[in-house]
Amino acid sequence: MLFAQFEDKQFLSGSAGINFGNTNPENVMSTNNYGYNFDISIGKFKTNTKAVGWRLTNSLGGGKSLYTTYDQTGLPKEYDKSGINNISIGAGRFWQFYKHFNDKIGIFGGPGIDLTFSKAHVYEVSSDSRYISENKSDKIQLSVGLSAGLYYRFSEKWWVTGSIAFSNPIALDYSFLSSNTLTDDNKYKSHQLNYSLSPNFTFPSVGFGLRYFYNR
Amino acid sequence: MKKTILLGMLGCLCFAVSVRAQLQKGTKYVGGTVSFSGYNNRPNKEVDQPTNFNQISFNPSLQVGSFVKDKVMVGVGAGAALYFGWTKSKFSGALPDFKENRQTYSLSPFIRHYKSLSPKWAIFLNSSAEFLFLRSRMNVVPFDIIENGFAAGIQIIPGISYWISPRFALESDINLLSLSTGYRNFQDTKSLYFTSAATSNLNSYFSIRASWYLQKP
Repeated sequence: MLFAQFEDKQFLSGSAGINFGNTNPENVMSTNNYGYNFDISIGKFKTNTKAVGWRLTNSLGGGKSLYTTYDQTGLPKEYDKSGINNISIGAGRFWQFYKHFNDKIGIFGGPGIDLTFSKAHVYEVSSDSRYISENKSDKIQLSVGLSAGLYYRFSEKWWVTGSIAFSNPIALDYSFLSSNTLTDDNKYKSHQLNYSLSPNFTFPSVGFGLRYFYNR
Repeated sequence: MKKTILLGMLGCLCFAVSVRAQLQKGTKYVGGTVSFSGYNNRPNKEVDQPTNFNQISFNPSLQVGSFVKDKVMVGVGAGAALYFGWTKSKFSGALPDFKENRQTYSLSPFIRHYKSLSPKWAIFLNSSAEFLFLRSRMNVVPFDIIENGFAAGIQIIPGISYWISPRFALESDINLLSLSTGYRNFQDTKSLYFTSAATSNLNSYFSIRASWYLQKP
């Protein structure tokens, strides 16, 4: 049984994922979060079961966030900080190893290395509920990640893909942070180096995509 | 008649080699994993009361075992979860530097039952008893507060192994499907706990371990 031969075939892929979340802790604040991530990549099959390529990634996240502070007399003040609160763009290189089950379906997985730039701002109410502070961060990150997916070949030139899991075992980033309470304009600026090695899988989002095999 | 005997022999052969070499009685096992993370925060030059904040967490674990019969392994695991945090202030009139560390050391004898799915994959069920020693220390001159505690419990967790080569496999405990129960006495709180993935805050669903299955030569 000869499966479709992929060796030397080149492709363009795009995939997108969305995620929703809702947290409703016992005290006043409740948040809804939403986000999307999108990537486009260009690659080539080196052998029937191995592909390498380059990718560009982009993500955006936001939420509905309401915060309440209380002044000395106990009078509450509400802040509506809903909207987009983080955005990132990145570029990277990936390697994918395939297992083709039959002519139509297979799975793939492999490592990638990405350089990502992201901006975020997060609000925090102080432990005595008197002040709200805004924490901004600009971050540049180099990470090694693992991703896996499955594909369905619905025509000779088109695939549908789904990504099912990923992990970031190695990450190193450098952030420029700025924090200030909203009642005064005193900014506390710092820079921070974060590092992590964590061999585990999480399922933060599921993405779906399309792949187009061009030429040949 | 010959055909029947031949088929019969083939059938017996299938049974006889159905236990892979890696899961046979006498095979020795070593597995381990490590994870760490941390950060170093430095204030910008213009901040007039600069304090450096630093933190590192380090979690190594090691397991050794041996197959006491086909597809059943008995062993013991040791692990640690270590956290260190410290601040450094370099301006006159600064509050004294703050140092904190938290340590958990665990010892867990376990028994693991395997089921082979294919030449490269197997699933297992790991049942273990866990004994933990917990310690926390906070040091801000003139205070130095040290607290010790312990916990003991049992845990059941399924997992999956994938053999990259006959002696080396990557394994994952599926934390998402784990159950554990025990007793904990630490920081003036005594508690009985029962957790499953549905009730605990998991930061990882699958953790990966490198393992070696060493057969007798």
